Amino acid sequence: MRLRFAIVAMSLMFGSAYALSLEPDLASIEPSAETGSDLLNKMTHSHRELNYRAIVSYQVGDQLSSYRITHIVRDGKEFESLESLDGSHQDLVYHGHDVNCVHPGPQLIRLFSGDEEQGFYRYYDLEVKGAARVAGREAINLMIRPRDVYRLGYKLSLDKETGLLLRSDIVNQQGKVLERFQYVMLNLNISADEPVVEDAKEVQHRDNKVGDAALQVSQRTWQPNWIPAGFTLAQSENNDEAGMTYTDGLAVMSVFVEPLIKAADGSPAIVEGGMRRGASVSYTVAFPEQGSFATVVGEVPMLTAKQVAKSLNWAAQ
Amino acid sequence: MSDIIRESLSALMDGEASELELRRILSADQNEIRQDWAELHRGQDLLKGNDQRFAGWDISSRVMAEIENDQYVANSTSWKQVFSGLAIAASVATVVVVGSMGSSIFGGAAPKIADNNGLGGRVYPAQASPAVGGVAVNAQAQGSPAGLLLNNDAEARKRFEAYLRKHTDRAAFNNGQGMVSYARVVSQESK
Repeated sequence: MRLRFAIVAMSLMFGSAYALSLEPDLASIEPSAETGSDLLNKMTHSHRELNYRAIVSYQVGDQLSSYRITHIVRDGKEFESLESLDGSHQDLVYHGHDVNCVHPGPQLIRLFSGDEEQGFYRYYDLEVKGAARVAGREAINLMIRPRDVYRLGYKLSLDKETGLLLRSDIVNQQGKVLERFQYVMLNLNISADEPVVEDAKEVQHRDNKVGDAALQVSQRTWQPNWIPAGFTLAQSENNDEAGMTYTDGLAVMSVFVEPLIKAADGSPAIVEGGMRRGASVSYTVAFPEQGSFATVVGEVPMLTAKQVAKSLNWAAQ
Repeated sequence: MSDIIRESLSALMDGEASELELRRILSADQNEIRQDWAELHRGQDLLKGNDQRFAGWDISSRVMAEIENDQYVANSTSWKQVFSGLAIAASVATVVVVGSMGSSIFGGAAPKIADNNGLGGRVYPAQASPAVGGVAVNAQAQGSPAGLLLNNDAEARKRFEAYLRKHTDRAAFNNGQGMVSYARVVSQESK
């Protein structure tokens, strides 16, 4: 342990870790007078309030896929679709989300500003880092570095005019980019009558507000004994999809518990371990004495998912 | 700080410190040692033309706090896998020396795990690792200190995809990214 500590501490201290690459400023674009928290705040509003159509690329490792996003607001309700443009055809849509419905994640960002060092801003360092050009638009770079080991880092480029998130690199504690979303085309001049995609799979919308989830009378007999500081319960269900979702404003993780799957010989068929793809990880732990297994899924470091999964505790029956 | 200690520190950095010098460093003022250690490295990095952007960061207290909170890793058998993996990587003598003084040089008490395992901060060479709790060290455990990766298990991958979709239903409205988040799910299912 001492050795492990020494290596972690020294590698971080002497700079081999967390080297987020910085792009040179673009001289032609004036820097923003807005603070990091102003920009983040604007980001949480804009993608829900504007009408736009965009082509977005999503990259994980050497795999690149692209999507068309259409978002319109009609009579105070959001309509949004995501169409895959390559690979097998998959379209998703959601309808009628009230534009004023605020979810816990954005609420955590809006509650405080960076100056107050409260809530979200206690767990991340924000730095406005010059200008960029993304999808033919002027953008502002925003670096978001976690202050502890339980979160990932974000390198965002936000549209200077609207605050829309045009590019997002999620980076691990060692500074490696895990996944990248990038708009390659953005059209803000579409009408609210623009049709969204037909015959698409409807996405479920659940609208809990901060605290509401915690107040629900729960049939659930389990809960994690540990979650990283700054994460708030965003959602919990008591139906067959028994799950709890936590967010710190940017990172989201969900805990799911299901009856233990057994092999033919009666032994648990669940192997403890993790899965990873892009910024998303999962960690599964079997609890044979409870006849259950738990999986934590989210855009967090594996360490976080593992510790949360292992901390699950059942109330005495 | 006395010149003698400074010289000892310099020797340690070069991997040439004797046991006496090591004891001298361990009994010296921790804050001064820390500053000097950082300065020595800054100087060395400057000479070598290495990256200096993070040279001013002292995150030792934060790392210490995180390790204090690290109870779930510490009390499971998996730390032994981590430890065994690191023990193999740490066969170089200088690393062993640095490792053994690690928790002292950055201040604070030794992490609980060192007290519990009876190793007393000693780092065993690679061939001794099977004796550390008898945990087999495999390539996966070494490659992923946070846990075993099941990426090649088809059933586990199927469950992962299903969970990721359910999770994304909840995450899309909370992570500031909205519908774009579903690209994580769709790109995976299209493979």
